[in-house]
Amino acid sequence: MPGYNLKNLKCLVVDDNANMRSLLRTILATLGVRRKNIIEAFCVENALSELKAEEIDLVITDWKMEPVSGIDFVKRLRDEKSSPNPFIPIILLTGYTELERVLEARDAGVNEFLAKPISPKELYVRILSIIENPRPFIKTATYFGPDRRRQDLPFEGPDRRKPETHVAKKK
Amino acid sequence: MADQSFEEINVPNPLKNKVAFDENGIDADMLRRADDAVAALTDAYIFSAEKDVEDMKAVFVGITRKRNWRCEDMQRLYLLSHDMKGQAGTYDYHLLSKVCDKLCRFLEQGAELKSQISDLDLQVIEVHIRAIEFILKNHLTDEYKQQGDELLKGLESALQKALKEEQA
Repeated sequence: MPGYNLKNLKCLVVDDNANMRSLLRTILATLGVRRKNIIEAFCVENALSELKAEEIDLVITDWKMEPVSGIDFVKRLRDEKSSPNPFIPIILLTGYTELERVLEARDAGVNEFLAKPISPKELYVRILSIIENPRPFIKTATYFGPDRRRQDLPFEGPDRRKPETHVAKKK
Repeated sequence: MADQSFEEINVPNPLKNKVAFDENGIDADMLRRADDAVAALTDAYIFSAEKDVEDMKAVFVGITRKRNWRCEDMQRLYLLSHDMKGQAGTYDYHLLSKVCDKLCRFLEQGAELKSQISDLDLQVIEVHIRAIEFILKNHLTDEYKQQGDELLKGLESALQKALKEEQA
């Protein structure tokens, strides 16, 4: 049965825990990503260097890292002028599952949030979501990242995405 | 009034351009093989988790000396426990994950609510570390649910008693 073939995808795995990097490498490789296309970084500075040196397609990063956290890494990637690629798809892994943490991750500009414990299927579902449901990027005075509204759910108040209610400067 | 203007930027789908949709793509068989590959890492994980427990015991010695919720040893214990909480479930050690979650929660709340570390706090931390060691040593995976529930109940009771200690 046909499915998505990930062999050409170049992934950057960022985690300060060697076991977790090894687990992610195993999962990605078994899902078809070429081993040479799976790059590991043990800290944010290391990850930024890899992003400058390689053309990475997908970042999978842990949240809880020292000295710079995964959330700060996401903000740097999205917001800093020196970012190697502000539009790069990012999956954030975390042991935190509280709603406020999920919202914090969303507001930092992640594409997908994956709560631990992880499994091959859960990781694949997140990759699939980025492939099949890409979201435009939104730039406001306080946010830059994928559109935080995934669906057209009914809500009260003006729809700020509609040009007749607000000025949308489309490129 | 806050600036509510925004710019919508449509970027080409970055991943779709790099992946093919073909007969060699991901299907149910490939996902099963990935699950098997993860399961094959279990022994390596347990070996490394046992080393982490030794680290936990070492930092606990430091915590008993310093008796400070925000000391470096405490932060190290939190990190070890947080990592274990996140990883254990992948290898069917959900009980281990839950015990580590309780320990993380106790360390967070203790630092927030209590000014000093009491003898009871130290006992609660130590009993969690012992429980973690016991689970690993006896390979208490998800099939030991009843014993696991009893263990969690006991830990929760000790934890609540310690957290309420200063307020009483």
